[in-house]
Amino acid sequence: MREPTIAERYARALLDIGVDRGNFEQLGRELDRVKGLFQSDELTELFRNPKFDAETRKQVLAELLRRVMVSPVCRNFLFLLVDRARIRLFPAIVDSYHELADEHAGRLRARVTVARRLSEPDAARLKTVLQKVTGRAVLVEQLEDPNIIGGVITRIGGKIYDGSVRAQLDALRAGLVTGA
Amino acid sequence: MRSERLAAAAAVTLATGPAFAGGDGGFGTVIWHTINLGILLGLVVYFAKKPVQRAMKARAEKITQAIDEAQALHAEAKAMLDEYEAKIAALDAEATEILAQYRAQGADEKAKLIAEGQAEATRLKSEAERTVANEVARAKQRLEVEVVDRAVSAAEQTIREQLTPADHRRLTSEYLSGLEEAASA
Repeated sequence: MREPTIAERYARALLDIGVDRGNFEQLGRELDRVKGLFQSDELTELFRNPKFDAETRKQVLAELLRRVMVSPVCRNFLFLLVDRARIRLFPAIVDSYHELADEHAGRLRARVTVARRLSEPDAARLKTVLQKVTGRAVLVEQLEDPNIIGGVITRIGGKIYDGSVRAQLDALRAGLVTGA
Repeated sequence: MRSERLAAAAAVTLATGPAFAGGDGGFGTVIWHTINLGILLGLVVYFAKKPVQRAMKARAEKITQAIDEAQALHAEAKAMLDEYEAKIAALDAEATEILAQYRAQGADEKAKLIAEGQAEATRLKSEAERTVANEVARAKQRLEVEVVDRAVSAAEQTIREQLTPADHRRLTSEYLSGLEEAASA
């Protein structure tokens, strides 16, 4: 059996707290909001550059966390990561947390790539059909990527359902090159 | 000793000559001189014959010996000449034979080189033909791939430009319908 990674061990510990307190889903949403902050280059530099000590990092982080409104559990967890110099693992910890939370809730997470965000009815229809296909509860997570041109790509439970225009063009190209 | 007697006899003969000649001074003188000459010649022959004969014999032997030696040398030289001529003749024959051998070897080598050259030329030609064929095939393939890439890129560009929100909805709907059919199957 595969040894859990460091990120998985932190995610498991936080999930255990959330399950005990009955707010692991809320914690997941808070983690997503904080993960969004990590897209900032300035914040990445703050956690990467050794000239910033732990106190400075925590002060900046506390200011940011007030804006995204997270629970004390989430805030203390982030401070712990700063103290133990594991804050750079935070995005991986969030991914592991969601996998563990989905597993705990008995659901599957569908990562859906689209060129334009799905309408609510289409998202609901997709969720329904995916639940029918897998026989489990499904959480749909959309990611916009103009590179696929059009259509939808769904990754769920180790399977990929690719209905993108990009895939059709790639297939067309492969067919023309092979048949040429 | 013999020469001394010869000299004495000659002196006597010559000294008595005028006494006989002084008689009448005509025919008798001539006869006297003739007799005197005959005696002189007789004495000379008598005393000089053997030494002269010995000298002549020695001279003849010496000449004969020289002739024999000359003949021997001539024979020897002739033998050497014959020997060298034979050697030269043999050398000529040997040189001719060696030349013939070299010519034969040269012909064989020439034929071998020609055969090897022809084989190498055939191999190079075949290799060059294969290389050209491969290059042509690769170039054709590259060209075809490039044509396909450009065609697909042009198609992508056209799709991007012409894809409307309605098209996106239709694509999504078709995708969902496909998933639903798969779920129902």
